Amino acid sequence: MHPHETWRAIRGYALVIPVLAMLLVTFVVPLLEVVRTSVTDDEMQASLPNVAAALRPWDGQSVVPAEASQALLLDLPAAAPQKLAALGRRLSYEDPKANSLLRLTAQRLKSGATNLAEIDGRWAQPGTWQMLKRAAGPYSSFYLLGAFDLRRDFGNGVKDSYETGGLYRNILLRTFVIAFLTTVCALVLAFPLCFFISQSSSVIQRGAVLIIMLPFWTSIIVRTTAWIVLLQDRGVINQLLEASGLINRPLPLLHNRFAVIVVLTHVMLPFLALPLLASMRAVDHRLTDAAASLGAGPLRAFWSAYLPQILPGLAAGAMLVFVLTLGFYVTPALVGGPADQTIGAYISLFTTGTGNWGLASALGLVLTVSTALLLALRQTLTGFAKDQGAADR
Amino acid sequence: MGASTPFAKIPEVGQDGADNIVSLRNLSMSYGRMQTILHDLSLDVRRGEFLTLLGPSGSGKTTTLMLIAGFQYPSNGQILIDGKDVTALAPHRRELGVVFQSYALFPQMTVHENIAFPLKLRKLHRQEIDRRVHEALDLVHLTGLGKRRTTQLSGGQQQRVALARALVYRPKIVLMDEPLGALDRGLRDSMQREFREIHRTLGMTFVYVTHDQHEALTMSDRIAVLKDGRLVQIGPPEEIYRRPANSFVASFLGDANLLEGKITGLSDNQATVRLSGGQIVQAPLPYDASVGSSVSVLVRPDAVTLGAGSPNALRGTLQDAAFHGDHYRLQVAVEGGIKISAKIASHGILVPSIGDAIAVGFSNVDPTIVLTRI
Repeated sequence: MHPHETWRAIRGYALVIPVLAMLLVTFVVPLLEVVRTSVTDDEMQASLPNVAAALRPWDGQSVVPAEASQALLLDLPAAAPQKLAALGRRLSYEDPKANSLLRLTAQRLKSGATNLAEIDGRWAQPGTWQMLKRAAGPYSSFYLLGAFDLRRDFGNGVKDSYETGGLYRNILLRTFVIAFLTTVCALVLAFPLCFFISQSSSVIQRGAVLIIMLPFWTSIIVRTTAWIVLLQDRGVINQLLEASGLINRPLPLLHNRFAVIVVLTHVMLPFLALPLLASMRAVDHRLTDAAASLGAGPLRAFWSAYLPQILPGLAAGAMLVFVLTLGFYVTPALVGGPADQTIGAYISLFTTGTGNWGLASALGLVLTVSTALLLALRQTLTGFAKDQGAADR
Repeated sequence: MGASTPFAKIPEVGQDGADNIVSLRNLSMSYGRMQTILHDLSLDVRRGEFLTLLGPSGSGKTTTLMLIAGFQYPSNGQILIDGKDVTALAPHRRELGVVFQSYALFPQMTVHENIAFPLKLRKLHRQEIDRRVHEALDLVHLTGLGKRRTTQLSGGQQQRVALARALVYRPKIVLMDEPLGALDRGLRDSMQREFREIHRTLGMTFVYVTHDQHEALTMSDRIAVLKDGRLVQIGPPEEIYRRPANSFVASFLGDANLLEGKITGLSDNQATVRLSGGQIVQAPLPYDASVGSSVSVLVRPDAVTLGAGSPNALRGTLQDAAFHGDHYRLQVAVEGGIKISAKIASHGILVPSIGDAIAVGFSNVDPTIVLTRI
């Protein structure tokens, strides 16, 4: 390459350095940190290092090695209370009573007891030691499996932990269902709207785009609160219906799936409407005319000549709404019931509420990866279509 | 028409006995109150002919075509196809073929699928569809390209696919909206020949829209000249070229010297005209006109002769002479501020120097007199 060109290329790259740096700091690094947190399981390493070391070679099925109980006798009285509390919390994710078992045993050991089985019968059960082995760390799949309600079982690989109160698969599924329903509702509303606007005069078009954009300038909290005013039992809609004598008791419009879908659809509509409108405005009507001249009725012309033209905009908008809704939690938290909380709400709960960073990271990772997979799928599909178009060119 | 020009010899539309496949009756088309695209347009298309709608942009020629196709509906008037009123009929029921300037091929389909589309809509058998698609591809010289994506084809090839798609279901009428407008000159010439050939082979009726007078002259059986939403003249190319109804048609179809003047005498279709520079010339008068009418004498540049001995000789000075190989293009200024452009065969002539006095003339048989203004 000519030196001048090289210099130009360097200058070109220099222009994107700030963006790349920002991406690195705000996206790549945090994402790696999330990955690391989701597999970090080092509380036992910090509080009971000898127990952790003794449990690591054990296969989890044979007799519990004697070194392990020896190490426990050694480590437990010596453990710093804070670190022991951290381990207790980690173990309580599996068994809520594990924390008290640890504290009690530590107390008894300090006051001179030496027989673990006498202190608490649970030390004689292999299950207790298996639980400890799962926490031996320093890295484990505990949180990642937990995000799918799974647990490592030493006999059969992984096992369903549904009976121990697992629910994340359900929440993940529910999140996808809510995102899907929102996308469908937004499509049903946006399609005729955009079609109408795209057929209107340019003055109406400009006005309509402004009206679509308007919600963007209002805080999402404000918009959601406005919906609460509309939907609540003593809200505008119920009062109107009652006043008109159509109903005697208020309809349950708030704190359920219905409210979540309605409000999410309202919030997400512009994200679908704008790309859809753009693609509809760019439609070459000669193609639909051509289809009609060739004998295609309105439906067939729509299908063969209109839809293929707006499909990229439609897909982009729908994907945008779907992906955004997947990570959304403010609206479901405000207008949904307990059974309408999305995975985002739980991630928020675990990070700002209970401090279960491992599980929060694992759930976040699941959400990120499934979103990335969806985008990759879409990319592959459109890429495939383009490849077909470019074949042997 | 009739009212649009006082001259009676322009063929009247709707003559008895003519086999008209399309009849436009008093079509008007306007958007709102301000914009009128067509004014009371009446026009007949004869079965099997190649009719060209010719006019500058804004003349309403494309609108006329779109009205026949049914993509738009007239504000007033009637459209008859095969004697049936189709004014309000949806385009997909009109059984027409339409070829667009922008080709309008379906990008998601292959060449084969594009051409098969109208056949599939007509629920033909697969083998019949394949047979007809191959036939159509052969007809437009695209044999073997059926599996290509339309986006992989050149402009000329895309237009052939569009033509094949419009012909494959054998519509009786094929409408073409400036189909060669996006192609370069050389390709247009060869496509023009192909269109003519296909028209001869298939015997369909072609209605062709263009603003290119060469295209109109070389391809058409008849030309309908439109201006400002009105039909100005309709007839065979030779008639339109040689006996234009007015100065607009005269200058729109090829180069024209239009010498303005007044009729001072009449005898046996021969008029004596006093030009604006005071010169007296004689020319045949193809229309009825009276002494005193303002007219223009149309002299095509290739009809101009040199020398004081030629009939209708006019004296002037040579302003410019350009050598074009087989001919010279001379610009001569004659008295009265009249400029005459002359196309003189270059073989065996001696061109005077620029600024020299020169006499130009024209035959009093060939040139014609046209109405000055429309």
